[in-house]
Amino acid sequence: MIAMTFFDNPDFISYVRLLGELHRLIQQGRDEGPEGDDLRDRMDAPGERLSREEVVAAKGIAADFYSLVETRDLLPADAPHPDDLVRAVARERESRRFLEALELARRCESVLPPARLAELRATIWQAANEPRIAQMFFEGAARLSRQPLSLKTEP
Amino acid sequence: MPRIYRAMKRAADGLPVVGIQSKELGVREPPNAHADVDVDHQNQVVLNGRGMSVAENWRHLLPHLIPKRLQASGLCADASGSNSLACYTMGAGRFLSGPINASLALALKPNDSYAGNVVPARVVPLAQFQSDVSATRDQWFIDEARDDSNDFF
Repeated sequence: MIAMTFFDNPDFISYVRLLGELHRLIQQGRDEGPEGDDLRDRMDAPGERLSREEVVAAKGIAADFYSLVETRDLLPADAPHPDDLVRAVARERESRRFLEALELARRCESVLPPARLAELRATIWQAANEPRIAQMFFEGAARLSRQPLSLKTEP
Repeated sequence: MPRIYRAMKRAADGLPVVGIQSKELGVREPPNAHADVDVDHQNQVVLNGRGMSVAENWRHLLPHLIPKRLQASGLCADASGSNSLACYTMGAGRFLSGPINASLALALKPNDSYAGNVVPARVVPLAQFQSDVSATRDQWFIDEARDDSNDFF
């Protein structure tokens, strides 16, 4: 299990914040230029100091950002929510075990509508006192809620 | 010689760009705030484990170093790097601290056994170290394979 102390590591926090900014540029199609290059260069130093466990956590968070723009096969929006899983995410979040909450949220990817999942992730980042990243997920939730869902087809 | 991976800018000939900027074949030099090595008063590289960063496999690189086309193609969910980069590799042995050639060595990072630095094998002037690193240019090739190709050992 990953310790929540990662959120107390300034290098981890710095890397994740810059990763969020990078994904904002990626979403806007503006990352392949001087602004993106500069941002990525600034990620080198904090990234170099991360432990393997923190690198793995950062990789998961990077994949989470992509969930704001990707379309994938989904259950219908009115499908039953995996309430137990969502409650478990909330418990971890309220216990300030943010990485565990983010990991649990990834297990909701195939069963939660993307807008609901983005909102769930936003609440985790909000509780982690990372308002800019939370805002990205809240904005993503609003955007995704306006998109038609791709329905999962049964084999 | 250990197999090592590094994300670098791709030159027109397909080989990595040699230079002293980030994501080039070489190290950033003092007084660059992000210098990869320390030097003494004679401008010789200090042997303290710092050097050109590499990884055991491209999949172990940080997200911002893996070209994002590998995310789009489904090879790597976290890839967030510039598409001007490519994942290069050289060598064919275990990723362990030790010699790369007569001039260079791999030093694993203390906090991550999947990451390391290419360092001088002995104390040399910084210019010599840069020359030794750039001399490996022809040995690097792009490996962004779907499967882990490190199953040779």
